[in-house]
Amino acid sequence: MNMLAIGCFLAIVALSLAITWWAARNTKGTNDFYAAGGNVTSLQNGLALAGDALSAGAFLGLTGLIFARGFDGYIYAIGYSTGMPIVVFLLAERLRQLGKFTFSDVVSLNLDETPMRIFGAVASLVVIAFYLIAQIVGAGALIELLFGIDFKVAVTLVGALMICYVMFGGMMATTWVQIVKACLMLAGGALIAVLVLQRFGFDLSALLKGAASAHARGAGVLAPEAASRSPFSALSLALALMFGTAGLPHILMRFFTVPDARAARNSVVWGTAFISTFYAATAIFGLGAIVILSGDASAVGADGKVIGGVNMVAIHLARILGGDVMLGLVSAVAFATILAVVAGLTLAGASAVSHDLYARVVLKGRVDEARELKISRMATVALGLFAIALGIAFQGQNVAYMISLAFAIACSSTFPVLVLSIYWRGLTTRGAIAGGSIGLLAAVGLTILGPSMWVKVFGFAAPVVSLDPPTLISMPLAFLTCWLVSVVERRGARALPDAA
Amino acid sequence: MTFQTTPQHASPGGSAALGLSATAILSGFYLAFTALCAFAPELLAAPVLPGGSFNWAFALGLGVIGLGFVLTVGYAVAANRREDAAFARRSLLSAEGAAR
Repeated sequence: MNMLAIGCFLAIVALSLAITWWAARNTKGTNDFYAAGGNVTSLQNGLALAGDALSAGAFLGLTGLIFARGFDGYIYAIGYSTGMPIVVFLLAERLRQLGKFTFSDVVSLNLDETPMRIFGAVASLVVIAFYLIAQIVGAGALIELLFGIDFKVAVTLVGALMICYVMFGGMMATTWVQIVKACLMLAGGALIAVLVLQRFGFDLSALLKGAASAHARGAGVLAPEAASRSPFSALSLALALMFGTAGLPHILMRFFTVPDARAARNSVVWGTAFISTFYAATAIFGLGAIVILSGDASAVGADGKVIGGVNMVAIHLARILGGDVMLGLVSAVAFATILAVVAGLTLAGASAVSHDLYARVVLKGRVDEARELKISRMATVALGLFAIALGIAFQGQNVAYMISLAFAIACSSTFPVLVLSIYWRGLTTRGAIAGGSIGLLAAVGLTILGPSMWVKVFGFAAPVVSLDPPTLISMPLAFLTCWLVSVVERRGARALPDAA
Repeated sequence: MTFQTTPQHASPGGSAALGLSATAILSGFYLAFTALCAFAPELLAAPVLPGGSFNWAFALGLGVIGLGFVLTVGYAVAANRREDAAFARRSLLSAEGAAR
């Protein structure tokens, strides 16, 4: 392990702790803790949104996926890029206008508050739990590889830092850690893209030609292939990637940190600019890696497999392009990314517990701010310890399905209920809860019976349901149930006076 | 299903119609692209310019990413304008009220 990488790593830890210290001094009440005082500017929130969207998976995962599967991997980058625009078209400014701290504020506005809050908090916590486990297991494995630290120590370290940021610095620390990380990641990505393109004389067609001749699949690597083998799974994946982002609690929470609807809207313009550019550029990283890593014994072993696995493709690429300096920088950026994303997830989970469940459901709003703040901090510690414990429990297991499961649940439970509660006045409390719950259960149940768990985790020969992810069934099912139960309930209510 | 425009939800910024149309355009284009990937991959493998290596898969894929950004900017510009117009109307009305 080179000293520079360790230096960058320590610098990032020191910087994020300094941010936390500053944020802690400015965090006085619940508005500071949940929403950073509501004074985040559009550009700052845009960077923080970019930070949330561009997780380690987006950088390391997508580069590895495109390296291995070419255009079939790039389909994921294309799909993820449609998520943030949907958020601004349908939700961003409404969230700011109608809610205060969590998206449950919005769904419980016109409906029966207690059951809607409980549903919102439970659905949020389920989405967050799967997302968090996947991130923290990935984090442990990555840090073990990058810095040679034992997996359990790495997970505990990430967990402890994350608890520290969120507990002391709340949303202010979480936002600024995310902004710093987004800047580092965009700068690092731009640098790698320029270094790759330089090798091809800044000629994109030379890069494409090079990738086609270096990859085992030849020119086929530049065109989609997997989608034609399972068209329904391809459409299902497209729905999950497109509408999943709009149901992720840690993304939705960001719109409560800006002063007004205009800032909410404009922040997505900034966010989309950064996110789309980065996703577009993953083709340069992945295809570049196909050419640059091939035949390099320091990156690809004698068995033809990438040393450290496909998630390490981006790291190998950085090292070959820019030596130990780039390796150190990119490793540190990957580490900062993990820390920032898990902190955002933990804060979203803690808000669901303390604001929705404790302050609004248990105490019906009769709570003083200091007490609610204390409960948020206790929830943060509990969630952090829970994440560390599960991270260690899932060590070495296949958790790849968890991110796609989190997206599938988000667009089959939180997203339908949120959209209908804003745009359809016919929605009833029972309709919302029935639809959201059935969507959630369908997403989980069909994932268990599908290829990513039934075959890859439990080891059965064939899946019971071949659709993967299950969104094509679970998302329409959620909308349909919300509609049907609401309509039937309203009809029943209208019929009642006649019967009496 | 009717989309509500109760005063509580009426936004001086982006209207429901604006947001839903932008959603329909982006999801329509993206799902059409996905359908091409699934049902006509050979069309996407064809080069945009004869003999070139830049194919329709990358052209349309980047098109989806670009369209998302363009629609986001378009939505924000339109919604900001509506909001400005609503504020201008409101201040004009209150000025008239004051003059009387």
